[in-house]
Formats: sequence, C-alpha cells, structure tokens
Amino acid sequence: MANSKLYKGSLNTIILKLLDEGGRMYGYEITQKVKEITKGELKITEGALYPALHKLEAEGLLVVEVAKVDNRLRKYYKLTEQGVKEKTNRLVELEDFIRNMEQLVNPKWTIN
Amino acid sequence: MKLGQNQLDVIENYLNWKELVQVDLKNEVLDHMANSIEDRMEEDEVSFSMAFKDVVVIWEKELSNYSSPLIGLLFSGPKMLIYKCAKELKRIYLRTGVIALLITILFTILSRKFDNTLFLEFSRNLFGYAYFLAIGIIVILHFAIRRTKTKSSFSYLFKTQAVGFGFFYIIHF
Repeated sequence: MANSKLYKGSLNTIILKLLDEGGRMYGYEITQKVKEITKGELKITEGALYPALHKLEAEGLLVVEVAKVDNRLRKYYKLTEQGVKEKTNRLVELEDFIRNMEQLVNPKWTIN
Repeated sequence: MKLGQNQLDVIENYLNWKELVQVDLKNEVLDHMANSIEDRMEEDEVSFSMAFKDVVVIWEKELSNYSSPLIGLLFSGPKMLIYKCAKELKRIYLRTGVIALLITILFTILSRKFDNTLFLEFSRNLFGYAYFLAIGIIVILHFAIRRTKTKSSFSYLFKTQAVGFGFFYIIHF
C-alpha cells in the first residue's frame, strides 16, 4: 500500500480488534497478522506500532504479561475490561467512518 | 530457525551500543529483531549476519539519536525512548497543571476570606514544607532506583527531570 497514512488514524482500533480476536499477542506477531490479513498490502512499521501499544497501555486499555520464550523475554499485550469496551466503541466509530467515506467516494444518486 | 545465545548477544550488544538499555524497551525490541531475523533466515535462506544487517536498517530510524525540548535538549537517546518519555511527561504536566490550577484558585479564594498578610505567610510556609518533603522523597527514590541497578524508561525520566525540580524552589526565590 503506497499511502499508509490513510491507515494511521485507525491503527489503535486495528490493534484493539486484533487483540480482542487473538487474546494475547506480542509486537512482531501483530505486524505479521496485519500483513497476513491484508495479503501484504498494509505493513505496520515498528515506529508506529510500539508508540501506539505504549499509549494504549498508558491509557489502561492494555495490560502486559512477560514470558521467557526461546531464551529471551517476550512482552505480550492483552485487553483489559476497559479495553474491551473501548474496542467496541472505536469499531463503531470506524465503521461509521468507512460508511461515510464510501458515500463520499461512490455516492448513490436518487431522483426525488 | 531459532537463534542461539551468541546471536541474541550480538543483537543485545547492538542495542546497548545504541544506548537502548532500558529493560522495558530493550527486551521488546530485542525480541522483535530476533523474530524478524529468524523469519528472514528461514524464508530468504540467508545467514544470520545478512539478516541482522537488513533488520538493523529497518530499526535505524527508531534507534537514532534524538532529543526533545520537553525533556531537555541536553539529554539525548534513542528516538523510541525519548518519544515514550516525552509522551509520559506531557501526561504528567497536564495532570500537575490541572492540580496546580485548582490549588491556585482555592488559595486565591481563601486569601480573600482571611487576613491577607497572615494567609500569605501561612501558605508560603506550607508550600515550603511540602517542597522539602517532595525533595526528601526524590532523594529516597533516587537511591532506591540506583540500588535496583535496572534501567527503565521511567528511571531515565526520573534522572532527567528530578534535578530540575530540585532547583525549582531556589529559582523561585
């Protein structure tokens, strides 16, 4: 995807949605999941992912669990109760936004 | 293909060289880089050093030396660390700003109700004691953080901001 800026405003919602579906996930796993779902069209950069994860954690929407995997420490993120509620709200907002954009890009004309 | 301890050490040494020594960030970046290298070695069938070079290029921007006016231009570090600390600091400033505003309003109202000179003296003493109490807590925290020997983004924030707070009251007079 040439213009990843279009996704930027939705990154937090994408993260919340993935964590809701995947339970607990670590940073690299999130980037790979997005790549897989979008068939490589969308690549979340490291520079965007971690600030977003840390912000959501600071807001109390995510909680962190650390586990030792393959001789190294892995930081897993999962939704808090507040995070689950917030995910629902943000998904509704995103769906409304997509619907409005669709109306603007492909308006359906009607004759009154 | 899983990385061995020597290969993980190479990544860790690189992160230490980039001054990303704060455990909360370093472990996360190390794991991400290691995963990325493992996938490249498996999918592209390249050696560890080749994959490592590719991954270093991707992380170059996030680990480049950076400073923020919010933290202080004298302090610099990896962009990822400075960015996280600056965001946290913004939240702290906002919170303390609101609290300071509420206290100011409260004291303005009280100073009008009571005798002005006496009240001013009382409030100056109160703030003086509160300030020295805060300095005492900062000194205790400073030694407690030093004793853990673990560096985190919060200890970095503490180190860069606590000294400034120490001079705050002196400048006031």
